[in-house]
Amino acid sequence: MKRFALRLAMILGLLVFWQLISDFKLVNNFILPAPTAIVVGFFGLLADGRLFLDILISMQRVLAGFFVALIFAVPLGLFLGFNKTAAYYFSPIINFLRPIPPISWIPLAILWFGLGNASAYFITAIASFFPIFINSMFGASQIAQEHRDVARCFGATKRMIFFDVLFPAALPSILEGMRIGLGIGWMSVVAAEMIAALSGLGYLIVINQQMLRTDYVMVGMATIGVVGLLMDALMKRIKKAAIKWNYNEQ
Amino acid sequence: MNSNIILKIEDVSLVYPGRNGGVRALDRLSFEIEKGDFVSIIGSSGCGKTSLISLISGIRKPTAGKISHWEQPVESPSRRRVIVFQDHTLFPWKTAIENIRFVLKAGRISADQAAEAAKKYLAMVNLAKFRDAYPYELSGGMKQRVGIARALAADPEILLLDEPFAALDHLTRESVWSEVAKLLKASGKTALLVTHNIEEAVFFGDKIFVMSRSPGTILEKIEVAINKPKNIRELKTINEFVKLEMKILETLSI
Repeated sequence: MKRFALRLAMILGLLVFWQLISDFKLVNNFILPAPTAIVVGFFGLLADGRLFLDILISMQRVLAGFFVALIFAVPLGLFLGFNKTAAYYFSPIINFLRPIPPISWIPLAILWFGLGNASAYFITAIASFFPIFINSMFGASQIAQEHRDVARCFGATKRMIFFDVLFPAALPSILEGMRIGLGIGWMSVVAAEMIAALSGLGYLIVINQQMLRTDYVMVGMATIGVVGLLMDALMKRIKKAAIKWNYNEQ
Repeated sequence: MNSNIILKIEDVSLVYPGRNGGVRALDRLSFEIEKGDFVSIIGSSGCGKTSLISLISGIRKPTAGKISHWEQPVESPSRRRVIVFQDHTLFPWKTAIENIRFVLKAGRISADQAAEAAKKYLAMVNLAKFRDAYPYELSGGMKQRVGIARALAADPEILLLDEPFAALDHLTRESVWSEVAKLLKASGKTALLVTHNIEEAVFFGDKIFVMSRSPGTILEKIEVAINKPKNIRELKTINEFVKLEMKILETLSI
């Protein structure tokens, strides 16, 4: 209890310090707006419905890109994880593409898809793809030889080997990859919206920066953080519910 | 020609590839098992016992020699020869009953029948109450019993037991022994048990093959003529058992 109080006091202390800096005009207000100004800005944006709309637009984009990534990343990751020969031929390409930051694809995305949703989907899909792919591949490659032997020994069909053995064994890794992929996708969709879109939380930040409404910029930033946190918590819940058997992971 | 020979091992060798010609795990091994036999193969750790089991099951192929099951060469794994693995190897993502149902489903048994039969096999090892428990919720002895129920569910002709009790602590092992021995006797299956535990080998086996250390080869074949009690503690007090134990120990330490 005492530790919790101290923890809370740290946050409050920071906010009070920040508020004082603004109140005594130590820093220009449009460079660093006061916490109270941000709260006022938050309710302002909430009241006219724009903030909520921008959250929905950004979420819709990240989910679209995320699902596109999921459709490609899981089968490909599993395939390369199970098949060492295929992994040998494919891995150089993937290892080359992987370190390229998703946002560096933005210029190409604009060239290929123009400004708007398609570009945002593309960027999020690229961003989400690698964590899901790498984790699926890892999960598939880690399957114990003894479990394969059991399946063969008891005469399981190929279909059963996949659905009863390989897939469930790789599932914890796949879900972990999805959690990380959604998080990185969320960061990237906001980056993409700053350059390649005319709506969403990223656009909200950029447009208000140009209009010198730093309070709205910070409302946008805080919202991104909170939504990201909630999505991550949701993914953790899903993972825990889906894998009742994996005591190591909980 | 004895038509009762279910399993025949002829001059089987196994070499693991590696430097300097690799490692010779098994060296020109030969023996026969008759239908209904319970054979124990005893050997120290690393003598190639587990390799032998995987060869007989068909999971692995011998470097030289021939293995035949009812005079048909063993070329791939089959439900007719099923392994009870050393480390239970239950699927951790399946409950006890689902693990057994998996085997029944793999045997092309309809879902309804499989559900019924799985219950029956679980009851056979006294774990009916734990049907919905995941392996991590079961003790070591319970997991091994599910492993045995799973093997029996495949209704194999030969049961291959690969040190199935090695991972259990001493007290658990003794009680699981009695229970499993009763169960296997009732099933009447032909069985091959490999172990490094002399008491276990004698308690289960009607015949004991003593295996040398690497490369593995059969040193001696012993018929067990003891009238066996139901539990291991009584067995240990029988004079013939003590003599047999000494004999095996001497053979092993050559």
